[in-house]
Amino acid sequence: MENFIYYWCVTYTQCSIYTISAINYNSPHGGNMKKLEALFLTGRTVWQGEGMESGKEGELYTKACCMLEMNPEDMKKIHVNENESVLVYNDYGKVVMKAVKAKEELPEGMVYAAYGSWANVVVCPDTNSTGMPYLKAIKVTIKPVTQELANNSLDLVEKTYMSKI
Amino acid sequence: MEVIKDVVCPFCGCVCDDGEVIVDGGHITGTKNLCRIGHAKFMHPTHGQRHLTPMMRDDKGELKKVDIDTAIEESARILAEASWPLLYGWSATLCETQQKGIELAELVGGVFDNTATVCHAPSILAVQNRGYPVCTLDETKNYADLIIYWGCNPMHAHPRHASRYSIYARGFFRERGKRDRTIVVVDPRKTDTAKMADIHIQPYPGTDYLIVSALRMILNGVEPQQDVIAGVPKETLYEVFDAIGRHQFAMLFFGMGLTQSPGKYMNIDPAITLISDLNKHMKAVLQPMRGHYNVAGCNITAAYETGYPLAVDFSKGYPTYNPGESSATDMLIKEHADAMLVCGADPGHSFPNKALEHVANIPVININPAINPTDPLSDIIIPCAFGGIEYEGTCYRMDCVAIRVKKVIDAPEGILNDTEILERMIKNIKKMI
Repeated sequence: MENFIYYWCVTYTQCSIYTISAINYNSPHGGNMKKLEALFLTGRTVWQGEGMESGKEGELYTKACCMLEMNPEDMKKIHVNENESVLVYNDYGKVVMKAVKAKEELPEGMVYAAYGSWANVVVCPDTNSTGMPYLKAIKVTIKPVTQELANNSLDLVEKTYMSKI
Repeated sequence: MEVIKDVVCPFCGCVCDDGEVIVDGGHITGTKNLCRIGHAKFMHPTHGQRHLTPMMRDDKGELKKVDIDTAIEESARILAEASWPLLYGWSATLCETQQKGIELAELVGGVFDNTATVCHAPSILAVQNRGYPVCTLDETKNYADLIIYWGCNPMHAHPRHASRYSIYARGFFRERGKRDRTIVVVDPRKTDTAKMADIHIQPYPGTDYLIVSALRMILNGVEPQQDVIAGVPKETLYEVFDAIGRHQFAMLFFGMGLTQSPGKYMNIDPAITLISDLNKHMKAVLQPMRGHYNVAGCNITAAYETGYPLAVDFSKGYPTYNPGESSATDMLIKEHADAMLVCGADPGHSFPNKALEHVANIPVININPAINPTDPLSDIIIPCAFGGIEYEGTCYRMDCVAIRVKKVIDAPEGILNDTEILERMIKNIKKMI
C-alpha cells in the first residue's frame, strides 16, 4: 500500500511512475514477443567521459552511449541477451540501443543509459518553465529488435533530426 | 622531450592542478596524475580527429571548406539579421571567451545561456531562493568528516574528486583519510560510489523531496509516521541521524539526481534548508558537483558582466533574466530562437529531442575544437583551439575558485582560439548594424 501512495505522490503529467511490468503481445510475424515498461535513468559513466574527450565521432563514445544497462531479470523477461539490440521508445522518440547487464546494480523495472545523443531521443523535453527538461525517471517501453545501431553519434543525430526537414 | 608540471586539467569541475604533461616535438605524448578522462582530453589534440578548416553548407546542404574570414563574416551576418538569436554553450571554454560571448549577445540582442541549463541551473534557481552555504574544496578535504553524495556518482563523473577532496584525501584535521570519515550515498542504483558508502540510501527515482523532508523531520525531533519512506526504511534514515551526532563537519555534494529528476529546483531548495537544519547539530555545507571545468566560471562571468548568472536575454536592449523563457532549452522547444551560436558545448550530445528538432531548422554556427554531434545540425563550423591545452586563460573550479589554465602545445596552423574568433565576429557585426 505504501508503494501505491508514493507512486501517486510523485505522478507527473508526462513522466508518471507506475507499476512496472512486462507485457505479452503477439508479434505480427507470429510468435509471442515481450516488451518491458521501465523507468529510464540517465547519468555519467567514466567510459562515456573518455569517449567524449577522445572524440564523439569515435568508437569509445558510441560504445559507451548506445548501451542500455538493464537488470538481468528484466533481460530474461523480454528474452534479450547481452549485446543484443533493443528498441527504446515512448511518445518523445524511439532509438535502437544495445542491451547489457548493468555493471552498477539497479532494481528491476529501471534501466540506465549514459547521457548522450542516444538517451536524449527518449527523454521528456518539457521544462515546466524551469529551463530543465526531465532527464531522469522517464517512462519507456523496451522490446528486442533486429535493427542495426547507428554508426556513431553524428549518424544518429543526422538520421533522427535532419531527415524530418 | 619535456615534462610540463602543474598543468591544470580542463575537463570536469574538479579542475585538478597537479597534472604533468609530456610534450615531444610539439605534440603531447603522455600525461601523469590525471584520470582517464583528463588523459583522453590531453591526447585528443594530437591523436584524435579534428576539423582543420572552417566549413559552410552550400545550397545542396553539403559542408564545404571555406576560409576563416568568410566563415566569420557569414556567421556575423546570420546573427545580425536574426530577431532572437541564442548564444549557447560556454562551459568548456575560458572566461575571456565567455566575456566576448556576452558582448556579442548584447550587440545582437540575443540570449546568452550556458550548459547549466541542462545541469545545475535548478541549483542556481534554488540558491537564489534559499542561499548558498558553501565552502572551498580545500576546507572539505581538511575538515569534513561526514560526506554525503546525493544524486551524483563521482567515481564516474569526477574520478579524482574522492581522492583529492573528499573520501580518501588526507586532510589537516582528517589525517587518516577514509578512516576518519563516514560516507553516505543517496542513489537509486548501487553505483561504484555507493559501493564505498557506509550508508547507502536507495530511494525510488524522483522521490528525493520525501527523503529530505523525512531527514528534516528527524533532525527537528519529529518521528516520521511511515516505516518506509520513498522505498527507504525509516531505520536507515535514523542511521544517518546517528552518524550526524558522531561527526563535526558535514559536506553534501549533490548532482543530477536532484537537478534532472522530477521536482528539479524544488529538490535542491529543501536540501539547502536541510543544511540549515544540520547546522543546529554540527557544521554543514553543500557543494553542487559542477560538470564542466568552467561552467561555474560562466555563471560568475555572466553575473559580473550582466547581473545574472545564466539565461540572460538582451532582446529588450538591456539584460533581463527569465529562466523558463530565456533558458536555452525553452528558447528552442518553444521555437523562439531563430539562429544559434554554439561555442564551448555540444547540444547534439546534451539537448533533448524536441530542442534538436528546432536546432535542425535554424541556422547554427558551431565553434568547437573537436568533431561533435552538433556538426550535422550546423551550417557553419569554425574549429578553434583547445582551451587549457592550446591557449591559456581563466577558469573557475566547481567551488568557484579561480584557476589559471596553461598552454602546453601550439594549435595547428590556421586554428584560432575562440576568444579571437568572437572578437572578429564582433568587429564584423559592428560594421553591419
